[in-house]
Amino acid sequence: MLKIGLIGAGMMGQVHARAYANLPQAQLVAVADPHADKAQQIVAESGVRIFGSMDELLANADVDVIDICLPTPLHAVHAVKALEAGKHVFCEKPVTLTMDEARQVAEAARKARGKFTVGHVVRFFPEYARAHDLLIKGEVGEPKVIHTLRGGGFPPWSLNNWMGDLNQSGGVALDLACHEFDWLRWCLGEVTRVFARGLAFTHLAAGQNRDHALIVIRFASGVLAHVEVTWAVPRGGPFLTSVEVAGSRGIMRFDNQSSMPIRGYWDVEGASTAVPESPLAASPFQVELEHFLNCILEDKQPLVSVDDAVKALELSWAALDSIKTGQPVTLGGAQ
Amino acid sequence: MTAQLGTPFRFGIISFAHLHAAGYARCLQANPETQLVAIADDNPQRGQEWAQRLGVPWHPNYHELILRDDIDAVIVTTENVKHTNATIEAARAGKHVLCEKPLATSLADGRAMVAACQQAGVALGTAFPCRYLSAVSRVKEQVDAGKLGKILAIAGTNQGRMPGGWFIDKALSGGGAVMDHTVHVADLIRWLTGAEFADVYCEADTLFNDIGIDDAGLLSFSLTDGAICTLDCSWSRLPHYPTWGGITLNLVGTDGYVSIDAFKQMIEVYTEEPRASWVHWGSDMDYLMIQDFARRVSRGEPPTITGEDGLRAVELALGAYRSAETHQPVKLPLE
Repeated sequence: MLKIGLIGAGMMGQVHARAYANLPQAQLVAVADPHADKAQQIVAESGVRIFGSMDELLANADVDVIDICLPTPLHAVHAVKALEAGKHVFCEKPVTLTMDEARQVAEAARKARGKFTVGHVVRFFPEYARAHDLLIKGEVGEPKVIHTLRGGGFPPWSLNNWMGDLNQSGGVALDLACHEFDWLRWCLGEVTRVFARGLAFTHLAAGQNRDHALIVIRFASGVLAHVEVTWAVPRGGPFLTSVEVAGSRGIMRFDNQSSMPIRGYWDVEGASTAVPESPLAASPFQVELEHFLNCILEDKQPLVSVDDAVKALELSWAALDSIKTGQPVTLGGAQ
Repeated sequence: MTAQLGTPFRFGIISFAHLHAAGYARCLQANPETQLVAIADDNPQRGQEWAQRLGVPWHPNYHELILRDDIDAVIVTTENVKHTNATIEAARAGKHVLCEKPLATSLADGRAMVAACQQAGVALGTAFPCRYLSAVSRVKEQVDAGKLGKILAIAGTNQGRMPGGWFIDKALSGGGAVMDHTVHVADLIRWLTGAEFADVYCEADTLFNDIGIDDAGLLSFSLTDGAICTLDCSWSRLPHYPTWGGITLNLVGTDGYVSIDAFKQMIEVYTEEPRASWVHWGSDMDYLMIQDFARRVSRGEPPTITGEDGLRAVELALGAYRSAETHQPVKLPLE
């Protein structure tokens, strides 16, 4: 049994708290959040202690694992401190806001006794995990041209709208595309070149609560990838994910909108409301946390290493730089 | 030269080198407003076979065909590099021209075609049937009605099968997948937005086949109104794929997000051999395109899709090739 200290009781903190409740390896013992009302929502049904900060939590609660579900700019300082305190650390994605911070966290993780991983949860979505395995097995031959799509409406839930501040969230290039980059690197290896266009500097930075990016990637293997990430679907619209891999022997493709085994049409106040669903026995977030806890208990390396997280962030910054300059960005993985 | 009301608009077809000629011929014969009078093909076996199948006379070269006084217009479906001479000679003989895409393989050739038709006072149309796909023309109506607000981004695909034959001989085709499959979506984007291309970046390569020409490409381009676009023009559909390929567009506007999968109107067929096929039942874009060309030109109006439109689309492909060599974005229009 591992004792968990959860840092941040926002949207993702609540998702993680629900996941821990289903995991026999985990006991959520403390939550730190300067907004006590948010923390109260999480602890309503259990004897979890509430603190105003991670420092207080570390000083007063006995925890094995620190789970950081804070806004991106707060990741680095909390991750380094928790690692230095000897805790196992799970940090939400992206690993940090800046590359300098990412390198500091990587250094701290290398020196630390505890294990470290980052919430690149897409690897734990069953369709992405299965597609990765098929791709590695060569089911469609050698991958050649890949498309991924991720996004939906602008996220309305962030505290003081930090997501809407390019300088805090990095927009879709950091917040969404880091997922795609991590999965693509997992499947395809290192990247040579990135060229991207987007609305980060023209729309998001102008306070429009809208972002969109179209990113072209050349891998060291020669593979081409196209990544579309969006916060431009109108409010109330679906969250969209899809992948297509065109390989030397065939094509595989999945799309969350056409993978809905339930199509319900419910009478809501006399009008039909469609609610398609794709239920799973365990949420990908729960599977992700369970994996990390098992790695701690069995002394194994987590699937997502700190280097993976740093490289995903590096690609996000390459995309943002390309959007800003209009030029392609050549990466360290260049041939 | 112009057809009288009630009499069909009379066509000749120059060459069956391009497979689309067969489809166009059937449209001409199926439509009471049009008539296929004769065909020309410098490949005697191919020409005679098609003449017999279609029940029309064959000419061993187009020089003879264009001198017939019982045709109003020609459809040019030669190998790409031969479009120019056939078009210019037909124009000089006073025939209207509907030219297969890409209009030409160089700007100089394309400009010469436009000038020759202008000088001769005949119409020059570019065969971009995708504007007549019902899904596309419906969204065009919605865009024009302002339902999307201002278009900010478009991610397009026009993937297909590697056509082989002269298509992969640069001396006849002018280029591979980038030349073959850039121009359709390029034209749709100009049509939907009303803007011109401002610059283009491209990653192109030979990834799927052991051939001496590009078969994979990702373009990233911007428009004069600031919209950002990408396009996958790859020949990434293998022979066993259930259909020839397709056209998709993801459009982001200030007031909406629209995904078009233009050939989605299909019946899925799963059998022992071939294992799967998708049978399209949507409206016939070729029929609608030729009907529109015949109606407008017979009334003395310019065709909906002009030679200039064909030229602008070719320019994007030519810019893309230049970018693929230098790994730098290329300004448009080209110098």
